[in-house]
This record gives sequence, C-alpha cells and structure tokens, in this order.
Amino acid sequence: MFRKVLIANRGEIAVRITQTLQEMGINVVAIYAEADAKAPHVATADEAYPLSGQTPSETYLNVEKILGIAKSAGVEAIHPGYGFLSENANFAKACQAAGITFIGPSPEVITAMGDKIIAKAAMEKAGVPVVPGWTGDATRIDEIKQAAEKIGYPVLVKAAAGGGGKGMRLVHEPEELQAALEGAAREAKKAFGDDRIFLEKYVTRPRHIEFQIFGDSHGNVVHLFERECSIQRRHQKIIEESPSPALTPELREQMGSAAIKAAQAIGYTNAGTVEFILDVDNRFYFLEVNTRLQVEHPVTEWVTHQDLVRAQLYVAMGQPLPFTQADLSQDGHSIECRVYAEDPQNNFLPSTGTLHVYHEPSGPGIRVDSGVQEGGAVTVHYDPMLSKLIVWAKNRDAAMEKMLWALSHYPVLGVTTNIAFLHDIIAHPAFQSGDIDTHFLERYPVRDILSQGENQSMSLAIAAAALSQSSKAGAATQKSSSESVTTDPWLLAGAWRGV
Amino acid sequence: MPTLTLQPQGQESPIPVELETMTDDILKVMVEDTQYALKLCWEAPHGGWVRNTETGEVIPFYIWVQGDAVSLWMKGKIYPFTAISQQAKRQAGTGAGAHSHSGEVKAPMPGTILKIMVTPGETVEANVPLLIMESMKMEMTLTTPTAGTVTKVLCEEGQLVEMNTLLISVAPEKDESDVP
Repeated sequence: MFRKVLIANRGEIAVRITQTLQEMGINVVAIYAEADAKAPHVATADEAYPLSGQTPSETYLNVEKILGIAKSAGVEAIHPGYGFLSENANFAKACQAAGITFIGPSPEVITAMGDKIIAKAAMEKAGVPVVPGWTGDATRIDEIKQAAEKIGYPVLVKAAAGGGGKGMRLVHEPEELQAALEGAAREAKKAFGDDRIFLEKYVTRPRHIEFQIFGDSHGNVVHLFERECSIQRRHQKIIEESPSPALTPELREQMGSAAIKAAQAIGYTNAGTVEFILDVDNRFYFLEVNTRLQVEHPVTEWVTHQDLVRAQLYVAMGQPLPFTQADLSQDGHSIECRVYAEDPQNNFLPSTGTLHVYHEPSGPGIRVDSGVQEGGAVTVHYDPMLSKLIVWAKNRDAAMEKMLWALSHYPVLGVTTNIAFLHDIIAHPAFQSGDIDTHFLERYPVRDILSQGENQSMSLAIAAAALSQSSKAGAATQKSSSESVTTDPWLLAGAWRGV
Repeated sequence: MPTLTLQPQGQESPIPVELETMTDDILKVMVEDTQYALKLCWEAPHGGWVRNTETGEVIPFYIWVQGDAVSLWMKGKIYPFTAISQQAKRQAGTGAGAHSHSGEVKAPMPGTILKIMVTPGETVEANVPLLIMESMKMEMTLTTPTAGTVTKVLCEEGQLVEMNTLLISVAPEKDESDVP
C-alpha cells in the first residue's frame, strides 16, 4: 500500500481524489499555484507545497517543479487527475525514471492513443468498428478527392493530434475540400505542432456514448458500462448520464464487448474510456480512447456502486482489479451536470470574479464534486468549471426530477453561471424524451431553451425589500434577528444612498 | 414612503418600487399595480427567505449588490437589475431608459490587450471596434459605447489588465435630442 501520494492537479478533481486516498489511509500531498493558496484542494490535503508562478506552464504543467516536490516530499505515486499532465506520456515516463508510480496507463499506451491515426488503425486491426475514412499523404489532393467521393459527402477533415474541435472542418461539397484541408492543417500545426490530417465520414445526428474500461497488470479487463455525453457545447460535454436512454441490452452488450476488445488490443491498464459515436441506425463507431480518469466518472461510480479512484490505486500498486465483470451491473440512473462560470447568453464566454454567494444543494441522491467555496475567486488562469452536480435515482424520470430540484436550489452570485441553462436543458421535452445528439444545442439554440423568469414583479418586490432592509443598517438589524446584515459590506453601497 | 427604482436588465424602462414598513416587520411593497405584504427572514449575510404574508408562499432568495448592479437569486433564477438613483435619473433626464451615455470603456474581464485600433483625438462612430483583448484564451472586441471623440487611451498592447480597468475614454458628441 502506498503511504504518500501527490495529486498533480487542482480544483474539484484534486478534492475528490484526496477523499478516497485519505479513506485508504494514504497521506495526500497537494501542490498549488499562488492564486490557489486558499483553495479547498490545499485545505483538504495532508501536506501542500506551492508552485511559484501563475500560468499553467509555470505551475500545474511544470514537470520539473512537480517531480522536485514529489521527491523531496517522499511520495511513492502521483495521481494526475484529468487535464494538465494526465495524458502527457513524457510526464508518465519522467515519473517512472524518478522511481515514482504514475497512476494511469503506461506511457506507450498514452502515446499511441494520443495519436488519432495510430489509435484508429489499432482499433480497426482489433476488429472494433471505426468511422469509414481515409488516411495518407495529405498533399495528394486527387487521391483525397477520390477518397472523399468513396466515403460520401459530407466528410469531416480532422487533425491527427486533434481535440476540442481544433483542426476540424466539415466539408459538404467537393469544391470546399481543398480549402478545408489547408485550413485544418494550418490550425492543427498552430495548436498541436503537428499538421497531419485525415478524413472521416460525417455521421449525422450522432450520439456520444463512451464505455468506462479498467485493466490491471494481471491481464484482467472489464467495462463499467456506458455514459451518454451527447449534450455538448463548443465540443465539450456539459451533461452526462448512465445508462444511456439509447441503448438496448443487446446494443450495450455489443458495445461493451467492443470496448473490452479495444482495451485488450492495446494492453490497457488502469482506468480509461473508449468513446464511440452511435448513429441514428444504431451503428456504433470507435472515436478515441481517453487515457485518464474522466470528468464524468461519478455517474459510473453511482450506478455501479464502485469507487474508481480506489480501483485506480489498487491497479497502480500491482494488485488485481477489485471487481470482475460478473460483479458489475447498472443500478438505477445517474445524471451529471457540469456547472461552469460562463454566460450561455453570450456565446458561453467565461465569467470571472468572486463567488459572493455560493451554496451547493444537498440531500438524498445528490453529490456535488466541487473545488470552490463562497468568497473564492474564479480567475482567467484555469478552466471555469465550478463543480459537478451529480444525482442518482431509481430511473431516468426520477433522476431528471431530482436534477431539476437540485439545479433550482443552487444559488451562485458574483459570477455568471450556466445553472439556469442546465435546468432548462433537462426540462426540455427533447431531453426528457431522450431524443438527444451532439448537435442538440444547434437544433435548439440557447435563446429557445432558456426560459424567462416568470415572476418579474415578485423579483422586483423582493429585491427592493431586501435592499431597503439592508440600507436601514443598524435599525433593521436590531429588529430582525440577523446579525449579518450590519456587517454586510454592501450595506454601504453608494447606489442606495439618498434614494 | 421610500421609493427604489430598479431597471431589469434587458428592459427599456426602470420600474419604481414603493415600500412601507408595517407592524411585525411586514413590508408593504408596491410594484406597478401589484401590492405585496412581505416578511424577510435573513439566514445568511446575503439571503434567506421571504414569506408572502397574504398567500403564505415562501420564497428563498439571495441578493448581491456591486455598485449599481443588483443580482437577485430567486427560486433558481437570477434576476439582474440596475439600481437607478435619483441623481442618475436627473442626469439622464426624464426620457425613456435613463440610459447612460458614458463614454468610458472598461475591461469586462481580466485579460491581455492584444490590439488597440484608435488613437486619442480620433472621431469615432458608435459601435466601432476600439480594441481587442484576450481572456481565457478567447478574443473579444470592445466597441465604442457612443459616437464621439477618443479623449484618452489608458492601456497599451500586451498589457495585462484587471476587470473594470478604464481602458479608453470617448467624449460623446453632442446629443441632438437634447436640443429643444
């Protein structure tokens, strides 16, 4: 058993990993950028060390500094979380070289799966269905044109090193192809330093369905069923659920087997995710393998009643997986919403500022994984995700009801959030009926989804009443039972003087 | 009877709200033609719940005020208002909107100034690009709030600025509608 583990991450995922490690009696070493000195991931750790600097490359992406702290603190392993260094094969190698266990798959697997062309070829060889497409020398325009005709328009031009929609172009007509190839290569070169591109059939109305996989060093590989992550904005998932309303038991079985085949083909160890797209005719195709613990892992944890971080630790220590395929089943329904500091009405522009009011909902069947607290700041330096709100109930309808309740009991003031928007997506008839795909937010634009506050008159009355009580300061406080009103900084807000 | 004037964000006109304290801390609140009798219970520095004493309805709320911006959280929705003070109303005249034609361009969020497109003394139309800034790896273009003359450029390209930093001042051109 490890005695001490460093978490090379911040925010909610660092807090979440800390909990499991401490449950297991393992001491947690946190690292933090200056701006995070008071963050929950630091406060909950057993030891914490500062990384000087502010930018990610100076801090949570700085391999040298992080390994330096790991060595001097005497840790036996590093958990990378997600993002930052989690899919950086060089970091995994550097850990190995330093005699520290990297909690994740081998550097070789990370490298192979990080390259979309290599990954796709490996899966095709293993008999996993892949999206029809073409790879080759991108300068041979005639060959590419022929390939595109054969695949059938529309086609997608994608970057080998791609991700986040960068280096991706949708091509409807042969005439658009050349410009798209050049544009995608240019963008990929700029974003990833790698201009290799490939073609893929464009699947209309695709659902994003991924399977959680887990392998150990004893040759065991299992899957922990699916997560449907079709609700996305800017190519990023915002709502995930398990089970998927689209899968029949037969289809689930087929996709699960394909996911295991994929994992075995590459000798996968530790936690990973095999992503598929599912078309309207229930044909599924391999998309990519994510070699990390996913953001949306809690929905899997809840329906399978397993702790994925705990299993990651066992596997990293060389022990066999704590479950077999036969031990695993899906119980009930779980939904996760990613709560972001961003403005859905302004093209999802990130919002920064102080969380002056921040109260998480709680109750039976509600889990909030968060790395922020009231009074904390949302800065420009990191991803503006505040928390993940996860619910569980017996079935999808009950889970949706619970999620709607939780989202409407989650006050956040000081930054703009997507909470009301998430609420209105869950309440949308198409979501309710499970009629979703990755183009949901194109079919139903934000302004059509967002409902207006129904009771403007009452909101005005309450706002004015609250303001008037506060501005009476001392007098109001003595009469009411609240002490906090007098200490309130905004009592003295100039706007209300002399009104 | 005090009157507070609030302008719901995205709406043209401000709405006056009249308040009167009754017995037992009940507030009589008049919004346009509707009258409420409300009792507030503060549970936290910035919120609690309101009881509508006539209907018995209980409504949780949180409120945050920054300058003249008021945000109310009520039943899972955010209601943003601008607080209109008497002074501001007098300045803006009695016309619709009480819309401020301030020519100050401030940073909407912290970020880096990428490009400045104007120089002091330049005459500009309304809604033309003034500068481009980058924040959280996204670019945004700030435009002139009003037609007029650029009086000050207070930032330079490459500079890292905090939120609400005054970046550019534009002196509004004389408003034709003010002429009697």
